[in-house]
Amino acid sequence: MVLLSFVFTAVLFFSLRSSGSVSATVTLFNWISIGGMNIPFAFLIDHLSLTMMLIITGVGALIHIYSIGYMHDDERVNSFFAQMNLFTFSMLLLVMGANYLVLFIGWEGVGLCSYLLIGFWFKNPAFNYAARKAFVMNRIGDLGFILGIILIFFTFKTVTFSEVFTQASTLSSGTTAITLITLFLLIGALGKSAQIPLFTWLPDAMAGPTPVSALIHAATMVTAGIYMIARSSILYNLAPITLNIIIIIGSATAIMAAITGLKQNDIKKVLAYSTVSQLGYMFIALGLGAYSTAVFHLTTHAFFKALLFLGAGSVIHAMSGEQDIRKMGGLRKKMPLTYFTFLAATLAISGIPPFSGFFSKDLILNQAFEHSILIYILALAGALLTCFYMFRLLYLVFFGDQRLDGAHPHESPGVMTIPLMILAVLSVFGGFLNIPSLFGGNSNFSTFLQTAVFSKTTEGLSMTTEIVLTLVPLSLISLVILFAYRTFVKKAVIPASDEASMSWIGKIIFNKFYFDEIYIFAFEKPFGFLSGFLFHKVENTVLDPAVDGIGKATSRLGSLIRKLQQGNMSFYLFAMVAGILLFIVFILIV
Amino acid sequence: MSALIFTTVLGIILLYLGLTKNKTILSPVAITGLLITLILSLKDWGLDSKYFHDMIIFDNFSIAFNVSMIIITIIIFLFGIDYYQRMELHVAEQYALMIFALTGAFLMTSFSNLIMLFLGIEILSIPLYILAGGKKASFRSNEASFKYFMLGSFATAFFLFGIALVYGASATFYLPEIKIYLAQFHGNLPPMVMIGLLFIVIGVAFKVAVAPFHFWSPDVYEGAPTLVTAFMATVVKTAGFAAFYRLLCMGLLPLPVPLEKALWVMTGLSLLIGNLAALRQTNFKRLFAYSAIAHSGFIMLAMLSQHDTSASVLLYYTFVYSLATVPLFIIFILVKRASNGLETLYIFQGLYKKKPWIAVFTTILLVSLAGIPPTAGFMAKYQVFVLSISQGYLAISIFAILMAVVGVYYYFFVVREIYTESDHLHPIVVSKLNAGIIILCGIAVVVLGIFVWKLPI
Amino acid sequence: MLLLILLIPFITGFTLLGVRNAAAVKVVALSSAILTLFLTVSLVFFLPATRFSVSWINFLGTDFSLGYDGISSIMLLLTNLLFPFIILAGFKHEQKQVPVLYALILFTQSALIGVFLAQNAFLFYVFWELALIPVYFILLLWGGANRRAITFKFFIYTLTGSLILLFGIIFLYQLTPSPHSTDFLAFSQLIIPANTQIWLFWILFIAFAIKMPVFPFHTWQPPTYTMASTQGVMILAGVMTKMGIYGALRFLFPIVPLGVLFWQNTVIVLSLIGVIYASIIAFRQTNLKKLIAFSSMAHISLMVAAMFVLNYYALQGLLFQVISHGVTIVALFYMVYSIEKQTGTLELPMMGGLKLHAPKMSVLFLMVVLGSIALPLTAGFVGEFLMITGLFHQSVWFALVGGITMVLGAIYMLYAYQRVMLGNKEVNYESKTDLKPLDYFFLLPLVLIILALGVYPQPIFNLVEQTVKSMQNLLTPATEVMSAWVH
Repeated sequence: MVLLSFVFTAVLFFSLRSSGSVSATVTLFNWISIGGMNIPFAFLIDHLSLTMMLIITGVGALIHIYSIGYMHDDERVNSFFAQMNLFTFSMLLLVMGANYLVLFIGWEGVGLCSYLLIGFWFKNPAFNYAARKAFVMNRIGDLGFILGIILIFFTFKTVTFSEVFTQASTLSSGTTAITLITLFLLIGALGKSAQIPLFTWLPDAMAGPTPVSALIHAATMVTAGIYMIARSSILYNLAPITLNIIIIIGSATAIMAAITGLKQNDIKKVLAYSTVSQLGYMFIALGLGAYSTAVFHLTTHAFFKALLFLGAGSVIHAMSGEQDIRKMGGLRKKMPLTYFTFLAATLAISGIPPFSGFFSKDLILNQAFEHSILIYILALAGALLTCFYMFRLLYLVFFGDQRLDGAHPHESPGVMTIPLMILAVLSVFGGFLNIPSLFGGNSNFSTFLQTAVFSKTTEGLSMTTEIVLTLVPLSLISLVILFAYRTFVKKAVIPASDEASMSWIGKIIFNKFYFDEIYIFAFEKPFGFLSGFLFHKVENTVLDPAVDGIGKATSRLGSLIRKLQQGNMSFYLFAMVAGILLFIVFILIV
Repeated sequence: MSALIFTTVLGIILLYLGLTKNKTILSPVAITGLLITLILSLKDWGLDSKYFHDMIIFDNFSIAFNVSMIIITIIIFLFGIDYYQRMELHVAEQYALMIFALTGAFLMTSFSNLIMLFLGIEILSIPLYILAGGKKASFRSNEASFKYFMLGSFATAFFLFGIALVYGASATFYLPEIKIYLAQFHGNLPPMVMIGLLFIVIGVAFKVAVAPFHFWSPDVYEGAPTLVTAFMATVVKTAGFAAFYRLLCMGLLPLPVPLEKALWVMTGLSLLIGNLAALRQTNFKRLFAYSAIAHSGFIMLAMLSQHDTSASVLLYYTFVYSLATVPLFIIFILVKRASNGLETLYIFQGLYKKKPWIAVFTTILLVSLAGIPPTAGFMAKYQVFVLSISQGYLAISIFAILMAVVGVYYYFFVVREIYTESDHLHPIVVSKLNAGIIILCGIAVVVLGIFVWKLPI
Repeated sequence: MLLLILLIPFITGFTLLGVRNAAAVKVVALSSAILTLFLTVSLVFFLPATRFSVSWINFLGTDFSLGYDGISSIMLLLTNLLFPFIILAGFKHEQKQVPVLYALILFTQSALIGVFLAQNAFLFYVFWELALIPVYFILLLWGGANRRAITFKFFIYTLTGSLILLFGIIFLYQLTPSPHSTDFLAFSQLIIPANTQIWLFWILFIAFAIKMPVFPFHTWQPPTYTMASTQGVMILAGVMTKMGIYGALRFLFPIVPLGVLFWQNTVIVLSLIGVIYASIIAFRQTNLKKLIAFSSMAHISLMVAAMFVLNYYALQGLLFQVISHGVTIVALFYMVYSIEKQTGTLELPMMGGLKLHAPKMSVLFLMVVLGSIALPLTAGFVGEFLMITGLFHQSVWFALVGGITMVLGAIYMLYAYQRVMLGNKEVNYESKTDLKPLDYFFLLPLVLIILALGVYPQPIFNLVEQTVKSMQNLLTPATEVMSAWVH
C-alpha cells in the first residue's frame, strides 16, 4: 500500500513538474467555518511537500517491506502494519496540509502513532512508560504549537499558509506578534524534533520495534519540526531573535547528543542520540536561515539514518534480540550484506565524500562559517564526535571476535536485505541531488525548493575558502576514524560495564547528563507529590470538610438548641416568662 | 352559624352514641356530621353574616378556613376508624372532644371581638388538654396533658391580661374599634397599650407554637396519642394562624413598629429553632413538632409580608401542610406498630421493600413538606417567598430559604430511611381504607401543586 | 411537537411501572428513547421553529410555555442522544427493580427536556428540581458503597444552590413591571442597577456553579460519581453537568450582563484553578472511576472558563464541547463499566494486562481516551481548540493554563489506559472475554459520533450560530456600561 502511494506521489511529482506550476491546492470541504474563522480541510502540494512526500512514501515503503521480514514472528503483526499505515497517513496529512490546523492534525496524529508503536510490545511496563513519556513531551510542544496557531489566527485572521505568508511579507521584521508566533511554533518543533529541552523521549522511544525507530524516530516524524519551520520560513525570516534561539538550541543539542552518544552501549541508543544530534544540525541550518539546506540534510539523513536503523535491526534480529554492542563483534563475516550497507551509511553520516552526508553537512558547515566562527567550530566538533561514535559502533559490532557465546548470527532474509541495499544506494548517491557549484553542480535540490521555502540570501564564499572549508573537516575526520580504529579494533577496547571505573566526566556522559534524573526530580516527583498533596491535604482535609463542616456546625447548633428541651416544666415556665419579659423590654426600647 | 351550632350538636350526639358501646357507628356518624357541616358552611359563602352584635362575622375568610379544617378533620376521622378499633374505652369521647375543639376553631376564625377570640381559644384548648392525656395508662401521655395544661393556662393568663390592658386603654373589645383607637397615635403607642397588644399576640403565638413560646410542643406532640398529635399539628395550627391573621388584619394594621419587629424576631427564631432542632432529632413525633415550629416560621413570614394575597397564601399553606402531615402521622402509626412501638426514624427502614406504593406516596408527602416541586408544598413556599421578597424583606427571605434547605435535610433523612433495606419485626399492615386515603392525599398534594395554586377566599 | 417530546418519556415511564417483564421494560424504554431522539433530530434540524404555550399560573405571571433556541437545541440534542445509550447500558446485566429504574430514568429525561425547553424561569426551576428527584433515587437505590451518605450530601448540596436560585428568580419576578412575569424574555428586558447585578450574579450563579461544578463547589462530585451506578453516573456526567452550563447561559448573560462582566475574571480564574487542580489530582487516583470523575471536572471547568470569556469562538467551542463531552464521557463510563465487569475491580493497582485478553476492548478504550484528550479529528479537539482560541483572546495566560489540560489530560488518561490495558500482569480476572456484540452496539455509534463531529463539526456550528451572535450583541452594550460604571 505504501509502495502504491509512493508511486502515486511520484506520479504527482512528475505531473506537477510537467504542468509547470509551483503549487496546487485541493480543498475537500470546510472543516471549521464560524464567524471570521474559516478553516478548510485542504491540501497543498508544492515542492516542499512533494519532497517530504517522496521521502515518507519512498523510505516508508522500504521500511514496510523490511518489516515483513522483521516482524514475521510477531503475533500482532496485523496491528503493527495497521499502525504503521496510520502513521504514514498522518505524516502525509502533516506535510500536505494547506493550513496550520490540518498540519496540526497530522502533527498530533503522528504523535499518537509514535505512542502506539513505541509501546507496541505492551507487556513491558518500561516500554509503556517510554511511550507515554514520548506522547506527553510531544504534547507539551503541541501546546506551544496550538497557541502559536491561535496567535497566527488572531494576527492574520486566517491559518491558511498562502494567506498568512502573503500578509506576513508586508510586515516589518521583529514585530512582537511574529516573534511570539515563531517562538510558540518553535516550542512545537522542539517537542517533535527532540531538541533541548524536550529531547529525552527520543532515546527512550527506541523501545519500539526497530523499523518503527527507523521510520518514525529517524526518517520522518522527528523531522516534522524541521518541515514546519521550513514551511513557515517567511515568518521566521521576520523574527531574528527566534532564529538566534534556534541556532543556540540546535548547536547545544547537536553537541550534547553527540557527546552522550560516545558512551552509549545500546546499539539503538547510539543511533537515537545520533538522530538527536543530526536534528540539531538541521536546526542550526534553520537558524541560519538556510531552510533548503536543512531540508536537504533532512533528506540525506532520512536515507542513511533509516539505513542505519534497519541495519541495526538486522543485527538485532541476527543476535536474537540482543542490543548491547559490547556483546557483539565479528559480525562482518557472518552478515556481509548488512555490514556493507551499514558501512555505507556510517560513511555517509560521517560526511565522507562522495557519500550523501558529505554534501549536506558540508553545506551546513559552510553556512555556519559565514554566520559565525564559533558556531562553525561547534558544528565541526559535533561532526567529529559523530564520526567517532559511529565508527566506534561499527568497529564494536562488526570487527573483532564474537563476544556472545551461544549466539548464531546469520544474515537476514531477502525482504530485509533488499531494502537495505536500496537505501545504501540512496545514501551513497543521495548527495548528488544537490551538488554545490564548487563541484560543478547547480544545487538542483535547493533550486527546486525555492518556490516553497524562502531561505535568507547569502553572499556566498570565495572559492578558496570553500575548498579550505571542505578539506579541514575531511582531514580531521580521517584522523578520528583512524583513532577509533586503533582503539576499538587494534586494542580491542571494550567499554567498561560498571560505572565505578569511569571518571566523573565519563559518568556524566554515560548517564546522559542526568537529564532524565533531573526531569524526574524537577517535574515528575513534584507533580506526583503535588497531586497527592492536593488530594489528601486540600481536597480531603480542607475543601470537603469545609462543606461538611457547614453541615456539621449547623447540626451541632441544632443539638445545642435541643438541649434546652429537657422536659423540665419549671424551666419551660421560666423560659416563657423570660421570653415575655425580653419582648416587653424589646418593644419598649425599639 | 348553622354550621357552628350543628357541630356542637354533633359533638353531643357522639357523646351519647358512646353509651351504646357500638364503636363502629361512631366514625360514620361523625364523618357524615362533618360533611353536613361542610355543606352548611359553604351555604354561607359570600353572605358575610354577622352575629351577636357583630362579635362573630362569618365572612369568606372564616368560611374558607373552616372548610379546610373540616376537610382535615374528616381525614383524621377516616384514619380514626382503624386507629380507634384497637382502643377499648372512651372512643366516643375522643370523637366528641375533637368536634368540640373544632367548634372552638370555628370561633377563632370568625371573631371580631377579643372576647370571642378568647372563648374560641379556650373551647379549642380545653378538649385538647384532655385529648393529650387520652392514653390514661401511658405516663408520657399524662405528662403531656399536664404540661400542656400548665403552660396553656399560663399563656391564657397573659392573653387575658393583654385584653384587659387594651380594654383599659381603648374601652372596647371590638377589633375595628381598636384599630381606630390605635390609629390616632400614629405609631407612638402608650407603653401600656403596647404591652397589652404584645400579651395578646403572645397568647396566640403560644397556641401556634411560635418560638420562643414553643417549648410545650415537642413534649406534648410526643406524649399525646398520635392521632391527637396529628390534630394538634394541623387543625389547631390552622385555627391559630387564622386567628392570628384576623387579629392583625382587623385590629392592628398598620402594625406598630416595635410590635412588628417583635414579630419578626419570633419569625426568625421559629425558623431557626424549628429547623435546627429538628436536624438531629431521631424521634419522629418530636421531629414533626419541630418541623411544625419551622412551618410556623414560614407562615409568619407570609403573614407579616402584608399584601392583598397574604390571606390566600396563608390558607393555601396551612391546608397543604395539613394535607401532607396527617397521612404521615398515620403512616408513622403503621410502621410503629410493626416495630414494637419504637418511635425513632429508623422504623421507616424497609418500608419501600414491604409496601412500595405506600412508600412512594409517603415520599411525595415528605417532598411536599420539604417544598420541592411539583408538589403543593413547593407552591405554598414559593408564594410565601414571592410575598416576602416582593415586600422587600430580602434578608429574612434569604435566611428562610437557607432554613428551607435544612428542612429538606431532615425530611429527606426520613425519605432515605424509607428506601434503606431492613426487616421489620412484624409485617406492616395497612388497611385498604388507610392506603386509599394516603394515596388520595398524595395525589391531592401533586394535583394541587400543578393545577391549583390558590384556594378561594 | 415540543409537548410530545416532553411527554413521551414521561408517559412511557409511567407505563413501565405496570410492566412485569424486565426484558420488555428495557426494550420499551429504549424504543421510547429512540423515538424521542428521532423527533428531536427532526425538530432541531428539519422542522421550522415552534413554540408551545398554555396559560398556567396566571396570577403569578407564569405560563406553561415551551420553546427553543440554538442553545436549547444543542442541549436537547445531547440529552436525547445520550438517553438511548444510557438505557442501553443496562441491557448487559441483570438489575434489580427494573421497571422502577427505567421509569426513573425516563422521568429524568423528561424533566431534563423540560429544563431545556422551558421559556420561563419558574417552569425552568420546576423542571430543574424535578430532574433532581429521580436522579436522587437512582443514586440511592442503585448506587454503590456508602451511597446513603454520599447521595444525601449530593442532594442537599445541589438543593441549596437551587433554593438560592429560587430566591433570585422571585427577586427578578418582582422587579418586572406589573403585571409581573417570570418569562425569560421579561427578565432579559429588565434594566437592573449595576450594584444589584453584582450580588444578584452570585445568587443566580451558585446553583449552576454547584451543578457543573466549579471549583471550589465540586466536593460532592467525585464521591458521587464513584459511587453511582453506571447509568446514574452517565446521567450525572453526561447531561446534568450541562444543565449548569445551560442555566448559566440562560440566566446570567441576558439578565445580569454587568454582573457577568464584573465577576468575569474571578470566575475564569476559579475555573482555571479547577482545571489544573482536577487534572493534577486525577493523576493520583487509584480508582478508575474517580480518576474519570476528576477528568470530567477538569473538562467542565475549561468549559466554564470559556463561557466567561464572552467571546464568539469560545461560545461556539463551548456549545460544541457540550455535545462532545457528553458523548465522550458516556462512552468512557461505559468502558469503565465493562472493565469493572471484566476485572471485578476499579482499583488501578489491581489491574493490568487486560489487552492480553481483550484486545478489541483495548482499542475502543484507547479511542475513547483519545477523544477525551482532544486529539485532532475527534470532536474534543474542535471544541477545545475553539475554547482555547477564545481564552487566548482574553489573555495569553488564560489560554496557556487552559491548554495545559491537553498535557495533563494526556498524562493521567494515558496513565489510566496503561494501568488497565497494558503490562503483563497475571491477574486472575473474573472473566476473560472480549467485547460482545452488545458492547459494539453501544460503543461504535458513540465513537463514530466522536469521529464524525471531529471531522465535520459544521452542522453543530450552524445550529447555534444565531443564538451565539445575539448573545454577543447582548453583551456589547453591557461592556460599555460597565466601563462607564467602573470609572
